[in-house]
Amino acid sequence: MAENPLMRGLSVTREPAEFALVIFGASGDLTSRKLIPALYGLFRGGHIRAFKVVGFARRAWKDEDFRRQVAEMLESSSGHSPSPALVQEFLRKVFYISSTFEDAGGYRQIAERFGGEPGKLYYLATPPGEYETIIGRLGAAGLAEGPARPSRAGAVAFDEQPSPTAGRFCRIVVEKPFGNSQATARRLNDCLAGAFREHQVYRIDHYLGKETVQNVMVLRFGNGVFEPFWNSRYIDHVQITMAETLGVEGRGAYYEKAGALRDIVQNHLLQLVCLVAMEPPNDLHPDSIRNEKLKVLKSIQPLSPERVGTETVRGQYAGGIVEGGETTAYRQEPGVSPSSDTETFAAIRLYLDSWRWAGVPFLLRTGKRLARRTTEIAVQFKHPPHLLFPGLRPGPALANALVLRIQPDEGIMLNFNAKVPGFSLDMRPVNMDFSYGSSFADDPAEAYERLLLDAFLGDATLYTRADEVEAAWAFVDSIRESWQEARPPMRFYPAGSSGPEESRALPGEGRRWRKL
Amino acid sequence: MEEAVSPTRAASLTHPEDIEREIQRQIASTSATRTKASLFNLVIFRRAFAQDPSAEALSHLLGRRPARLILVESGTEGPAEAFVSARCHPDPKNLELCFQEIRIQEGSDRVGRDPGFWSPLLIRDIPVFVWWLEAMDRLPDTVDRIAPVADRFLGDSSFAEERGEEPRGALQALEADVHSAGVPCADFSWHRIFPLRLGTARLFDPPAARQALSEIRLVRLQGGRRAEGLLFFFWLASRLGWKPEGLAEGEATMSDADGHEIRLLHEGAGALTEGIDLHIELVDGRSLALGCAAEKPGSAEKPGSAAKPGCAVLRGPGERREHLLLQVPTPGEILLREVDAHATDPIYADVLGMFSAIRRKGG
Repeated sequence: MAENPLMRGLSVTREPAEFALVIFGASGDLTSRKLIPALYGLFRGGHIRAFKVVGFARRAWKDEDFRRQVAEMLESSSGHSPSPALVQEFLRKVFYISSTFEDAGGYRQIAERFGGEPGKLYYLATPPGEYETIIGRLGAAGLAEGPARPSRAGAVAFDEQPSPTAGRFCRIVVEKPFGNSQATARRLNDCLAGAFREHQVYRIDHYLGKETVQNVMVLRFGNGVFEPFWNSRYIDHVQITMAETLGVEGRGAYYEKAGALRDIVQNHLLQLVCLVAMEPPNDLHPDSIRNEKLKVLKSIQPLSPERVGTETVRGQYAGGIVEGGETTAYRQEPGVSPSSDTETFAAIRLYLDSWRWAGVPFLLRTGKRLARRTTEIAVQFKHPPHLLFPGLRPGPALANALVLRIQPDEGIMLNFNAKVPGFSLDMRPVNMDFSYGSSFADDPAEAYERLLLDAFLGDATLYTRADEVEAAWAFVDSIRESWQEARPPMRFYPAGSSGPEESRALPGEGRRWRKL
Repeated sequence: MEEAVSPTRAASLTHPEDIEREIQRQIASTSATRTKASLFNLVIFRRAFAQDPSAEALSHLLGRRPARLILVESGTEGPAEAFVSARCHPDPKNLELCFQEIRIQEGSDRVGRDPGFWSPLLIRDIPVFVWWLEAMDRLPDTVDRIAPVADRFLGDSSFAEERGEEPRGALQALEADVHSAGVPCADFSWHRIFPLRLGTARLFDPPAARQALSEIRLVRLQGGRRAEGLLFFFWLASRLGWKPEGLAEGEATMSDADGHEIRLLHEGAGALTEGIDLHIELVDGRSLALGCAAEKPGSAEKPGSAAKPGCAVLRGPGERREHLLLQVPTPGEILLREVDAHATDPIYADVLGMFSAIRRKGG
C-alpha cells in the first residue's frame, strides 16, 4: 500500500521525517537567541518529534556541557516558560561535536554519529567567512549527498525538487548575507553547487517568515477585488518604507562594510517589491512563486551613473533626538570611521520593465535613526480621470491609498474620500482600517519556527533561490557602482527626522512620501 | 488566558435598536479603546441554568477573537427578554478584544427563540455560527428557521449523550436535520477523537505496517463516549472501505471489500480525557495497540513515562514503540478552530454519509 489511507485529511501531515540538525556555530548568538528557542517551540507544539540537534563549534564541550548551555538558552529566551519535563525530553535530543570548521575529523564525527539519520540538515549559523570552508568540508566528507555538479556556464541551474514527503533528505540552510555583491553571491552559489544541488539549499531571510509579509500574497491572490486595478492603469506609484529608530547598536564595524543598500534594500525591500509586483503564480509550489519573483527582479531597470543622481538619495544620520533621548552622529559611533562614506539612509525610485508596471515608480526608503519605526507598503492610486467635484485640486492628500502595515501595528488601511456632512460638497480623506491586533490576539508564529519547520519539511517557498539572490545583487550593484562613479553627495539628516531633505523631491511632481 | 478585566454589565431590553444602543454604550464605557471589530456572530442555544461547556469555551475565546454572542436560553418563565453586556480583554498590545453579549431568555411563550427575535441582532456581513447545546430532539422544530441565517452549525453528539440522549440518535440528528438541510455542520466529538484517529493512523504509518490495514479483524476501543466510539468506527470504515453490516449497543459489525467480517467493540463510557486503550487484532493473531493515559493536571512532570498526559504508546508489528504528544482538545480549542477555519472536513462528511446510509436501511 503506497499511502496510508488513515492519514488522509489529518491536518498534521506537515511533520518531517526523522532528522538530525547540525548547527555550525552552535556557541554563537544566533543559536542561543533564535535557533534553540525556535526548535524548542516546534518541539513543544508537537511539530517535530523524532530529531537530534547537533551543536558543532570550536569550544571543547561534551554533549552534557552543550545540554547545559541549551538549558540556559531556553531559560533566558523570552516568550517561553519551559516545562521542566519537556525541557529534559528536549535535552535528550541534543548532542555536541567539538571541532574547528577546518578539521576533517569533526566531519567524520558527523558521519559516524549521525550519518544514519534519514534526514540531515546543516545550518550555517557562523560568520559568512566560514561558509566556504564548511560547505567544502561537508562535500569532501560525502555528507552533502548532492552529486558534485560542474560549475555554472553562465547561469544557475536549479533542478526539480523531490517530493517533500520522501523520507530521506539532506539540506543546508545558509544565513544572509548571501555575499556582498553579485560576484561574491555567485561565488557562494558556486561553492554550494559544488557540494549540494539547488533544491537542497535553503537561503534564509527571516523577514520572509513574518506573518504579515506572507499576508501580502494572501491579500493579493486570496481576494478577487484587488487584481483588476493592480496595475499601471490605476496605480500611480508604490511606496515601500522600512524605517528604524535604532542606530547601528554596537555593530558599527559590520555596518561600515554593509550600509543600508546592502543591509536592507538588497534583501528585505526588494523581496517586498517582488511580492507587490509579481504576477499570480500558477500554484503554491516553491518554484512557481520564486519564478514569478525572479521575473520582477529581472525587470528592474538598472540605474546608470547618469540616472543615479536623480533616482537615488543616500544619507547618513547626524546627532539628534530619537524617542526622547539624545543620540550621536553615525560617524561618532564605535567602530565607525570619522570620515565614513557609508549610507545609513537610502531612497530609491525604481521602475519595472513590464506590461503591468510600465511607468509606475516604486519608491523605496530605508534608514536608521528615523522618526518612527515602521515597515509598510503603500499603494497609491491615481486620481479619478475627471474631477467632478468643484473646487478640488488633485494632490496626494486626495488620492486613494491602500497601506499594508508590516510592523508594528500590523494591518491594512484603505484611504478614500468621503463627503463632509453639510450643504457644501466638501470632501475629505477617511480611513477604513483593519488591525490584526483588534481581530486576532494570537501571537504570530516566530519567523524562525516557521522557516525551520519549512526547511525540515522541504518547503522552500519562503527561502531565496540562487538566481533571485543574484538578480537582486545585480540591481544593487548597479546603484553602488554608479554611486562610486558619479559620486552623488552624502546627505546628512538629523537623527529623529524623516531622512535627508533632498529625499523629499524623489517621488516626483505631485507626489510625496508618506509621513513617518 | 487570564480572566477578563472589564466588568460584565447587563440590561434587560427587547427592541433591537435599544439593544444595539445599549451594546454601544457598554462598549464605550468598558473598553478604553472603544474597539468595535467583531469577526463573527455566535448564536448559542442552551438550557438556562444548565451546566454546559459554553462558559469554558467562551472564556478560551475571550481576548483571542472579538465576536457578538447571542445566547438563546430555554426553560425560562415570563416574557422574552434580552440582557446586554460587554466583556473586553486587553491583548498584549493593549488593544481590546470584546465580546458583545446578548443573553435572550426565550420566555414561557418561547418568543425569544424565534429567529425574528434574535436574527436582527446579528451583525451583518460577518459569519454566523450556531452552537446547539439543547436537546437534539428539539432540533427539527428549529433547524429550518436557523438554516437561512446560519453559515455553520456546531453540535456535540457526546454532550447530548451525557444528558441521556441516545448517541446514535444524536449523530443521526446532525446528519438528517442539519447536514441534509444544507447547513454545513461540525461535531465537537469529531474534533475530540482527532488524537485517537491520528494515533491510529500512525500505528499503520510505517510502510511495513500498511499491509496490516487489510488484515484487521477486530477493533476494541476502551474509553470515550459512545458517540465518539461510533464516529471512530465509522471513520475507520470510511477510510478503509468497510461496509456497515450491523450496529448494536457498543458493537458494530462491518465487512471489507473481500467480504471478511470485522468486529468493532466499544467498552466504557467515560470522557476521552480519562484515558484510551485501543487494541487491533489482525487476521493472523498479531495485534497493534495504542494507549493514552488519563489527562490529569500535574502528571506532566514525569519525563519519559508512558503515563504523561496526552502521551500515547504505540505497539505495532515488530515491537515498535513510539511516544506521541497527543491531547484531546478542550471545548474552547475546538470552538476557536471552528470559528477560524469554517470549512467542513470532507472526511467527517463521509462519515455522516455512512450514518445516512444506515438510516435509510433502517439501522
